[in-house]
Amino acid sequence: MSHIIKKENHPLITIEIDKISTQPGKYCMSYNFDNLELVKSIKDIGLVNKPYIVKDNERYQPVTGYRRITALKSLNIKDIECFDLTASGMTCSELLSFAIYDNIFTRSFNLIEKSMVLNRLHLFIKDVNEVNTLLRKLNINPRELKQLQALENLNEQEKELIASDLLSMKALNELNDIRDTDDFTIYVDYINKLKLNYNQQIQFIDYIFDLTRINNTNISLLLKNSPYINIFEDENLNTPQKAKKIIDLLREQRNPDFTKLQNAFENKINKLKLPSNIRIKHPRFFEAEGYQLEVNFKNGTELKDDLKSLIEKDGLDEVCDPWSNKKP
Amino acid sequence: MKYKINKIDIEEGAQNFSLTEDIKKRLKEIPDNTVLLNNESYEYTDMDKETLRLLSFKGEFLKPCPGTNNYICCGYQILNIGTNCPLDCSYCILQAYFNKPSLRVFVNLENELARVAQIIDNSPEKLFRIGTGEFTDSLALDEIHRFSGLLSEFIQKKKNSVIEYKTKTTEIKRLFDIKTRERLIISWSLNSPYIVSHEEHKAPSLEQRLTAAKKCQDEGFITGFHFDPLIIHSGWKEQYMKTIDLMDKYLDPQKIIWISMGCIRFVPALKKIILKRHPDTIILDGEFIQGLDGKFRYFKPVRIEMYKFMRNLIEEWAGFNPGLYMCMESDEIWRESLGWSPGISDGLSDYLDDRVRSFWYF
Repeated sequence: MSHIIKKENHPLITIEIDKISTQPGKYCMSYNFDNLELVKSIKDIGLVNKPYIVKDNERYQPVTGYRRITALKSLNIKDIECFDLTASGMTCSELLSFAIYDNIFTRSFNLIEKSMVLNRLHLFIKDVNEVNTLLRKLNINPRELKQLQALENLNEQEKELIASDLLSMKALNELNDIRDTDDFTIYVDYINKLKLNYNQQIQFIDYIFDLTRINNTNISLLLKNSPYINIFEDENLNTPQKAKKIIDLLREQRNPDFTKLQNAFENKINKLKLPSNIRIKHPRFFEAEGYQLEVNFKNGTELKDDLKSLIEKDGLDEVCDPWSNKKP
Repeated sequence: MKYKINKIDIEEGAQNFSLTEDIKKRLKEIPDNTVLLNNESYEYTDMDKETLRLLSFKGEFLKPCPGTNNYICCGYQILNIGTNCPLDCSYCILQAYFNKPSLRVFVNLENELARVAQIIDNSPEKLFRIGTGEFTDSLALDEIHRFSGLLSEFIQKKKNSVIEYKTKTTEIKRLFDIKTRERLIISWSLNSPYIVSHEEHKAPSLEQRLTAAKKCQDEGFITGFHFDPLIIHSGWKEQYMKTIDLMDKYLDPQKIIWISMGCIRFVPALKKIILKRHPDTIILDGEFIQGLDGKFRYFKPVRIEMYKFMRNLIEEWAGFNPGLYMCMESDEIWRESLGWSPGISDGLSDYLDDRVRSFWYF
C-alpha cells in the first residue's frame, strides 16, 4: 500500500456531495451510529479530516468518512472536499484495508459492523494471514465467524437490536424458529423492557419456551398472570430487580420441586442464624454428595471459638438432604 | 425386512467388499449408486433413515464405552458395526451424537475382526463384555447385514468375551440359525407402554418385544433388559408396573443376566434437536438439572424415587436380584436406590463380570 503515501495519488478535490453514494457500499463499516455530536462539531468548527472516496461507475463511494459525509448531508452542505483515490491504483482489497485501519484505531465496532467488515474481507481479501491479522485487531473469535457473517443479512429490526446490544447473538439464535411470528416481537419487547443481560436473555427464553410448551399457552398469556404483572407494576423495584424477580419466578414455575426443596434447605440454614463469617452451602443442584462449610477466621483461636459455637448451634443436626425424612 | 429402505448409497472404497455385493443381492429391488466420500449435505431434521449407506469404516472397531465423567460406568466394550437406526425414538442421543445421516453399515467389519481379536487376545485375564447396540440397534438391520451370525461365530473363538445384541425390534429370526448359545446375550430396551407408543416411533410394541424375548429364552438364549431411559410421565408408576406385569407374562427371570436402569439424560445440544424433530414429545417436560458431567438429568430425589420404585417392582417380580445395575449414576444414588454400591466403575465392572460367570464357565 506504499503508493497511497504519495500525495499525487490521492488529490484533494471538491465535488457535489450528492455525487457520493450514502448507501452502504463496498467499504462502509458503519451501522446504527449516532451522528448528533459529529453534526454539532462540524457545525461549530467545520470538517477537520477529509473523507477518502473512490469513483465506482458514475458515482463516488466513500472509502473512509461515511459518517462525516452523512453528517454533512444532514447539514445540507452542497460541496465537499475529499481525497480522491480513483487514480491511486489501489485494488479493492487495499482500499478495504485502508478503510479498516482508518476505523480500527479510532473506535470500536458493534456486532453488525463486525459482520459488515467480515463480509467485505471475505469478498476482497484472499490472503489468510492478512485476514487473521485483521480479525485479531477486531477482537473477532474465529469460531464465531459464520454466525457473525450472517448478521448483516438480518432484517433492520433485528440488526438494530443486535447493534444496540439489546439482544445477544445467542438469544437471537434461540429465537430463530419464531423469527417470523408475532411472538418474536413480544419476546424482544420483554427483553428490552427488563433490560435483561445476555445470560438472563437465554434463561428467559428457555424457561418461557418450556413453560408455554408444557402448559400449551403462549408468552403473552403466561406473563399476564398476576404474579408476573405484580412484579412489572411494583414501583418499589428498579429494572434490574424486576428482571431478577421475573427470572426467579420463571425458574420456580419451571422447576417447582427443585425450588421448593432448595428453599427448604436454605430456610433451615437461615434458622441456624450463623454468624456472617460462617456459611453452609449445598452443591450445585444438590448433585454432588455432601455440603460445604465455609469459615473465614483471623487466627486459630478464632477458628476454635467459631467451631465451638457452631457445634452448639441448635438445629445443626437437622441439616440434611431436604428430600430426606430421616434424621441423619 | 420391516424397515423401509428406498436407496442404497455405496461409498467409494466400499464397493469391493463381499458384504456390499451380498447386500446388493439381498436388496436387489432397491436402486444403488456409488457416491463420493462425505458428499452429503446434512440438515439435522432429516436423518434420511430410508437410505442405507455402505461404507468402509476407518476407525477402531472395538473401543471402550466412553461412559461419562463423575459417575459410575460399567466398563462395556463397543463393537462398532454401523451408526444410526431405522427406529426414531424421540430421546435418541444419536440425533446429536452423529452429524451424518442415513443408516450406515460398516461393510469391512469382517476384514477388521482380526484386529478386534488381537485386542481381546492381548488381555486374556480380562473379560470383554462387548455390545453392538450403542451406536445403532444391534438387530434392526440384521436381515440385511447378518452380522449376528458372523459375530456370534467370532465370539465363540474368544473365550474371554461375551457379546450382547441390544435391540428394540423383533428381528430375531437369524439368531436361531446360530449353532451355539454360549456367551451370547440378547437384550431388549424396555419402557412403559405409554413411552413405547408415544416416544419410540417405528419400534415394535412392548408385547411384541417381550414375545420375541420369550422366543429367545425358549430357544436357550440368555437375555438382558434395559430400562433406559426411565421417563417421568403422567401415571408413570402404574405405567411401569404394566411393563413388569408383561415381563411376568412372558419371561423367565432365571434366564436374565442383567437389567439396567438409567433415568433420561441428554447433552444440552439434544434438546433443540428433539423439539425440532419431535415437537409433541413429553420427555422434556420433567424438571432437569445439569449433572456433574454437564448432561441434563432429573433432580437427585426424583432419580432415587424412580430407581427405588423400579428395583422393588423388579425384585418382587423376579424373587431375587436379576443383576440390577444403573448406567452412569453416582455412588450415592446407588446406595440410596439399590441399597449397595460398587463404589467405582471397576467395582461395577467386577459385578457384571460375576454375573457373566454365573451363567457361563470360564
